[in-house]
Amino acid sequence: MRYVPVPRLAVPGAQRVAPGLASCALLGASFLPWLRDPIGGVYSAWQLPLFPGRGVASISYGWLCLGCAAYILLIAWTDWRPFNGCGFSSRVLCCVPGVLFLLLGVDASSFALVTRHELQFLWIQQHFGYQATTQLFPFSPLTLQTSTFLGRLQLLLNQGAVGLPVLCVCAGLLPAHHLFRATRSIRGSQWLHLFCGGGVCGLLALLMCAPVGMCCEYVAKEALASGNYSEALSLLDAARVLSPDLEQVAYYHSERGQAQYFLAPAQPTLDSQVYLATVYREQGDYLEAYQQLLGVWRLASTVSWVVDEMDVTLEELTESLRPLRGVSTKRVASDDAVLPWLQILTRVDSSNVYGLYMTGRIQYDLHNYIACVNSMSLVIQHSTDAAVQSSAYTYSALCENGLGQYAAARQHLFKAIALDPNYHNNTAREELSGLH
Amino acid sequence: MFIARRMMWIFLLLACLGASWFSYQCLLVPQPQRFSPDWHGAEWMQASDADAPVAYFRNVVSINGVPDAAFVTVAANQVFRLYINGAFVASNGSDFLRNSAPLAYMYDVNAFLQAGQNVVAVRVANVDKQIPCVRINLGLVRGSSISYEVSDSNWQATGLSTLVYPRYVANVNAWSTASFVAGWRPAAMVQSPPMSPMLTINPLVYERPIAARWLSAGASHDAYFVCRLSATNTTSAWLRLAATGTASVFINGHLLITWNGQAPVPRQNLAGFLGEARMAQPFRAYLAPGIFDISPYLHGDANTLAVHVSTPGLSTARVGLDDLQAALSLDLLLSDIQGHNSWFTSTTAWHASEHSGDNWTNGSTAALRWPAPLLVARPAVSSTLYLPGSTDAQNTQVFPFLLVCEDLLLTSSGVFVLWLLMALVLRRYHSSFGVACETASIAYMPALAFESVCIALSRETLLPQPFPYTSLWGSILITIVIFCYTLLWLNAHNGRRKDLALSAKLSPLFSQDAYAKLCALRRVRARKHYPYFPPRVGVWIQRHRAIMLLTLIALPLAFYGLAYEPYWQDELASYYAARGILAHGFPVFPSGFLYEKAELYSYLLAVWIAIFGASGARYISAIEYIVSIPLLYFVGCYFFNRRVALLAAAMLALSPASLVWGRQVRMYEQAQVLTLLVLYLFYRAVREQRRVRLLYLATFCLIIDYLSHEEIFIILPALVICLLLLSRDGRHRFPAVFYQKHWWYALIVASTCIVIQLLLTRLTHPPVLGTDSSERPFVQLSIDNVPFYLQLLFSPSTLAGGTLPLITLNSVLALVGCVYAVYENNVRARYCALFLGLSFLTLLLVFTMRADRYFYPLLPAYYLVGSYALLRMLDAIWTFARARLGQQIRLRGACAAPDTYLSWHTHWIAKGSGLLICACVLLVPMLPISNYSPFIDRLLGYAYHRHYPDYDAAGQYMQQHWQKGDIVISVAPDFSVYYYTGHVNYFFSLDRTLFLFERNGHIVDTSIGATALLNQQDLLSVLATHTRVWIVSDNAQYQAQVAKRFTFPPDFHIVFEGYGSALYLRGG
Repeated sequence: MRYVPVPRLAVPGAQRVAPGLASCALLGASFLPWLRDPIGGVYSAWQLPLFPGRGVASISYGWLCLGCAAYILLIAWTDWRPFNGCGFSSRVLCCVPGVLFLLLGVDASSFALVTRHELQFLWIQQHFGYQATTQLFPFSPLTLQTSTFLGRLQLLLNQGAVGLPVLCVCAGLLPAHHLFRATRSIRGSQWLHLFCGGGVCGLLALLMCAPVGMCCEYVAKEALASGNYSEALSLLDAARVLSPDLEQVAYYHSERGQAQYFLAPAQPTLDSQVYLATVYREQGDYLEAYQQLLGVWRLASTVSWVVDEMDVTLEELTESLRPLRGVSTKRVASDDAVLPWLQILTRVDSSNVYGLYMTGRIQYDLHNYIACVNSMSLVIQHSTDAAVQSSAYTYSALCENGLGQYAAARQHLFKAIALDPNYHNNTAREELSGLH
Repeated sequence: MFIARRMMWIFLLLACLGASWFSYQCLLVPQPQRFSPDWHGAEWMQASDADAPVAYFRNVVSINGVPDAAFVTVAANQVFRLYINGAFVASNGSDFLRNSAPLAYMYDVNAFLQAGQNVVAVRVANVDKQIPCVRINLGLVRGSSISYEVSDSNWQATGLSTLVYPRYVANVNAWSTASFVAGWRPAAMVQSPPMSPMLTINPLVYERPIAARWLSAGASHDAYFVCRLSATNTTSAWLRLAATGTASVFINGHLLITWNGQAPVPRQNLAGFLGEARMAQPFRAYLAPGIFDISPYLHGDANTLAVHVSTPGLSTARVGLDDLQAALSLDLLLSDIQGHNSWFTSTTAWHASEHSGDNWTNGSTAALRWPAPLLVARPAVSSTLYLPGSTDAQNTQVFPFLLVCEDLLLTSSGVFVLWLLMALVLRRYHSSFGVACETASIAYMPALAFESVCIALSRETLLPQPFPYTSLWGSILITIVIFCYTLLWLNAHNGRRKDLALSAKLSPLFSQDAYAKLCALRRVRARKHYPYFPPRVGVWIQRHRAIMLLTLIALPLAFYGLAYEPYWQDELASYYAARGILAHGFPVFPSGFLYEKAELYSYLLAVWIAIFGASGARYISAIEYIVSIPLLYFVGCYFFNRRVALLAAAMLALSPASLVWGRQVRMYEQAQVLTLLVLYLFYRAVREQRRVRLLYLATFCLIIDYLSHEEIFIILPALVICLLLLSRDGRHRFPAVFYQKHWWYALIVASTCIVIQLLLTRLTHPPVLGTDSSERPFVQLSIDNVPFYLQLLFSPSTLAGGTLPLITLNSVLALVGCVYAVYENNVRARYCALFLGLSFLTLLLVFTMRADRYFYPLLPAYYLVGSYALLRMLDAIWTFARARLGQQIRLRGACAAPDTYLSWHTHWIAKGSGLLICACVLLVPMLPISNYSPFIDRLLGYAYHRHYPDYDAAGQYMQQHWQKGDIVISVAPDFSVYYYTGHVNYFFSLDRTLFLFERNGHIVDTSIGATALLNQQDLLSVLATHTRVWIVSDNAQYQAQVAKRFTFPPDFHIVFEGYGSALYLRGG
């Protein structure tokens, strides 16, 4: 190895401060939340696998950040750089975790969970009576679509947490201080180049699997549209091989089901039933969709994507009956009709916050205060989101007022207000003020 | 350097993008078109009994049986809502808010009609202080004949709301039903029609009923249809499609449309400004045919149209079509070059199968051997929907990925091939092939600049459509490229023969220095013409003449029609504060509440009113707006250079935001001007620390800026950080300002003033009676507003129904400017960028209010940094181009070193391209022009509209019908109602705790002291004690909120309806 002289910065220490800071910030960002769950909870980089479903699930974005941070620190303190004269690749490396996160997203099961919770939150928010949050990309529960790349990216950006801006700061720190122009270069051996090149290629190949799988799935959709069902099935199989976590999402099974249904309409499969349920749901025929899914659910009641489909269907079915809408004296009938469906929903998915919240709200409307308090307690238990908890405490307080427990009611109202620092929850505040 | 090294590739990339975008739009995107509606004698009509802003029209039509098809063609001046038999059909409200250019509309109304008496009714609102009028034509199609019911004197019309909304009638649409007894006068015909609006769709697609015989492949869930058709000489093609299930349409093998014609899930109706403009379509159980413009996808003789219809499970049974399964109706309206229209309805051309085959979407031989489809009877009632490229639950316009890739590849190849060819041609004139390539890449820039202006202009709907994605404009672009290549060749050729050129005069060549000398000569000559000007003044005027011209242009924009808009509540708050100053010496509202916001502006307004009267209150902001333009220019000259300053001043002068806030009785313009001064003076104070006066002047400006509008506290953190960074030097450990006593004095003075103002605000506010969301502190760390402000700057079309100006380009430039300033060793640019960035961050994260006007004080810095970015880019291009196109020539007889010369045409083309790019940046926010400025619209003869509710008209009506003992309840901003009606006794209090206080045992509001109605009992007790009660409503959001908590008794009825207001009366 031989040294290639390059000019140094005027202040020798300065060239190490910025990369040192960037490295620490990058590492720090990996411990910060990257993704917020709409119902509560956060995911840090260490909880988000980089290669889901490939037997290397333990390799997470956190490890990637650690690797990048270590590399930056190393070259900052030892002026060592294996990629001779290639400062550009090092700069790009700082952006890699964030860009990969936005492009590849997270594993399908985590994403499905976030989507499920986002749907629940969107439905719940419609019944708050006030605007609880503002989103960068406003979603509607009926049009939320995460089967496309754009839909997923929008959801990720909406739910992105503080870790992502910190990553941007890291990426900005390095080029701004011209780090790599001032470092000393070492021309590496051919073997080192080969080894590094091979490693990068391998990593790229692993990373490209998911996008290629996604492309296969897109082509399969076109094959389905043109009626080439056998070809579509083959493409979907290939997509599953490339991206095994597709198995965890309902839309993949619906696409498989479409092919299977038209290839053999008389031989229903789980997937074809899911497909039929999707078609009926799009048509607004929620009862028929539920009937189809019921058969699937009985066979696979613990499979997460089946529960997702049941959740979506029952939530839309509930909302189609328009509960909690209109003047309170006139909405008893619709509220009453919704309750059995909500019971089914909470039986299918006992952690469904929407089901619990709606049950509580309807029980409050029907003056079943104790039942409402119980439901709202479960909501508070299952959701750590401040907006949902604030509303749950509000209705608990209203019920306690109805039961004559004024002190407890007041305490709950104070809790509701404490959980609402941005003054959205007008219901609690007006109740507390006593003016109305 | 990074950019300079790669400039050639950047040019080529931009050229590829520009060419691909143009060809993509031309070849793959249906372009908007305009069609002349056939009115069949329909006349413009108006109400003859009143000249109210809203008029109602109705006509009873007898129909023996439901026709095969029925359509309505309607055009109105300005906003209409169409009803048939009491059902809401459609409105142009949301279109109008986005772009008030007049258009005609067509709707398929067959599903609304019934045998017997039918009522066609239209409510028309004029938002431009003109008389509402409408032109309408109902077409009934039976077989091949069409009968028309047109607007004429048989229609009834009224402008009197009392005749439209009788008392005790709960259904507000009762007037549009057959059972309504309307004693209205016949409509009056308009003698001078206002305009002749065009349709956006070919009317023939509505005039022909959907085929009575549908195509089927048999009793299967799956059906495949394929046909070949010729499209020779076809200029446009409209596809009309209805199917019993989901239909996937392939044209020439490409999946382009997925259509599900089943009716969507019913949605909740929403109230909004201009009423039912945002009302959702009611649920109707029928199959909806979609209409698509497929002109770009058809070409030549042999086109393959393939459709796959799938109806899985029981989906057809649920809509009563279980015996039919997969079936389809599809026809095409083809127009040729001569304008002849023909329908492709042949059922024999089709081939159908229950199973797909290999390559069937491309019309394979096997597919074309499929048998003819079975013909089945039309399964259900249908109503045609036009879907102009929209994507929703019913309609999925598939992005033709492969076609786009093909287009991208071909156009990029074309660009590269042409570039390489020209590089080969130019090789002999340049030192190396690399230099020749770089030179050849420059030729695309003028065409790109021209294309960018065309793209900006494409937002203007008043231009003849389609624009600019047509062969004509494409040819112009290609001509520009060829012309530029010719010039390049000439330039290189002349450069080679420079000895010859030099022997002639300087005519073919033109240098920068020669130009400068010529300018100097002209200046000297100018001095001779105006001997009474001191030479310095003459030179100064010559130097800054552009900003004078810009200021002159801004004058009519600022001052024309200042009284056109009615006052809105915030303006009236300032007005009443000023009236309070005149009466008591303090800014007190009529309620006695001390208004401690924008105190300085209130005092200024009071002085103005005392001198000039209340009618000219808007002049203050207009004058400040005019002042801000040269001020920004000179500040820009100080921080950057004249070109940056001029462009920034032009951006500000022509900004739609300035034309809104610079014409109001509000303090935002004053805050903007003073913020700009603060930015400038503090920089100078730091740089020239020996001139203490500058520091105190800057502090004074900061204090008056704060007292003009307290929201400018968002600049304080930015100012502190900027000053600390700016005053670092090598002599002190800490920033130099820490060692200057005058800075400490200034800090103490400014802080004292701000603290006193805050204390006064806190101490003089009456005790708060309750709690609700109005109590949210204005200053609070939160990320709540991040989405809003990011959308405001980068995607404003997603806010406020798409009515905000498109400033995405300016925002991107400002962002680039900030990044560029960080990298570049330019302290002044860094100062401006840091000031803008940190102030914006404070606004984003600390200030809790959200509205576009809170960004307004930062607008000059925003434009300055954006302008800096744009001109830096243009400079980089210019440097690159000059180095390749200029020639080193020594003038004959000159001793100096050779100078760089450019031929005059190259020089002007380069300048012209730069100007076009700047024009593009200026134009984008201004368009569509119909929403831009009343002056421009009146000048061009276009329609304009008011932006605030017309309580002035409501107040006028009320004053005419006012009786002693009447009381007024407000369901609208109190100030507006009070100003225009002169009375407000009560108001519905929703979420207004901060603005309530107790007086004489009553809860009253801080504005005019009206008593609050807090619940239904309060309302009932008021109604029990008064006979005649007026309710003044905004007829929109506010009323919708009130209706959630309060119920109006049925004896209230609407007696007056404006475009943005309504009067309810009980007891009259």
